[in-house]
Amino acid sequence: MTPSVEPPLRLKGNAYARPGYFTTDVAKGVTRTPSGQRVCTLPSEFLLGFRDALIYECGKAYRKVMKAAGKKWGTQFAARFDKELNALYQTRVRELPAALVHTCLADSFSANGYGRLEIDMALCDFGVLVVDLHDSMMPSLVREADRPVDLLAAGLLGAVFSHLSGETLDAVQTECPALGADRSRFIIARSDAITAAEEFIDATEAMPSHDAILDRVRQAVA
Amino acid sequence: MNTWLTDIIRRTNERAFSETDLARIMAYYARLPIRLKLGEELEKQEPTLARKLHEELARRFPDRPLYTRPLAQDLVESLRHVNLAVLADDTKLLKLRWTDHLARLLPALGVEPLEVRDAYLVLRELLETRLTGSAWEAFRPAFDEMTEALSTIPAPTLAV
Repeated sequence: MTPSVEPPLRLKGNAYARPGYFTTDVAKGVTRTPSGQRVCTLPSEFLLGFRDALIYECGKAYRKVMKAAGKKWGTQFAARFDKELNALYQTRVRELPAALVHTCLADSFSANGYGRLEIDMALCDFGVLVVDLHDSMMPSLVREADRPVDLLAAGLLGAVFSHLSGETLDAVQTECPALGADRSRFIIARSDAITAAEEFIDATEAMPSHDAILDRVRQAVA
Repeated sequence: MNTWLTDIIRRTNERAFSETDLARIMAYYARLPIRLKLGEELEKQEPTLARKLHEELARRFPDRPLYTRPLAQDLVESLRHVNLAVLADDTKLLKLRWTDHLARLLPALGVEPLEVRDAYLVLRELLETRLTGSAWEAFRPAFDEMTEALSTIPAPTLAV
């Protein structure tokens, strides 16, 4: 028998897979979601141009700027996601089961074209999450690099999980298709632990392995 | 996300209907009245169906705390997704909107998928007696496809 689920199990399906989730008024040139949120297409040319311009203007600091942009985006994204889920389940998001919220978050990522999200909760009790993002946009554009390139996604994920957990969290990318991996992989943990991991990566000539970075993060959160 | 009908109509911008496309469209429109009637019947049944389903589940499975009134309501409301797939004659809509979501969600929540399937089987019995014969026959294949899909979801490791 299934153990009692607290709060009671609610099933609302993948709201993002409803036909016509994004509707475009061609006459007005406006695309909206069912909640009225306006969205627009940012093509690969824009993303590459944005990245190139940041590298030109900021030099090595472009990585921090990209990640900060991802955090700002993630804060807004999380607020919208929270509102949509609240409307759907008539329950505050922090009161919903984590597995439900994570499944809906993955649905949202897929619908928006950010890639397929997988969340590994195995280290949750230690204050660490490992997140995989398959077919993320930026690594598909930057084919080769000596460091992970999914900085916008790292900022986004850090901000989203901060919102969901109510704690100040951050994310660091440990594996990247631009470095030969088959998906982007991130570690999410307390901000100071992620800062320590980023310093470790910066101080290492070749990109350290996921496990080596994870060890650093776990030492920092312990 | 396009249905087969949308895909065919979009392709006609470039060429005439093929004989296969035309035959499928004609078959679809021939059965459209019964699909529309099904939608009307489901809408009429919905207000009382959730209460009846909850009562039946409580009577048959008194040891399953999963079967709350809100869950019964959710399952009855999910018939709208089945109906939409029947109306469009494309079960892909149901798969993406409902079945795939449950396949990921239920194991993650530690919920036994067969308990959700059992609830749907009770709902099936209720529908069979409440819908007219032709409406039920139009509805049944998509509904059964969904319950069969629930049987293939792996049980959670947490389940006792």
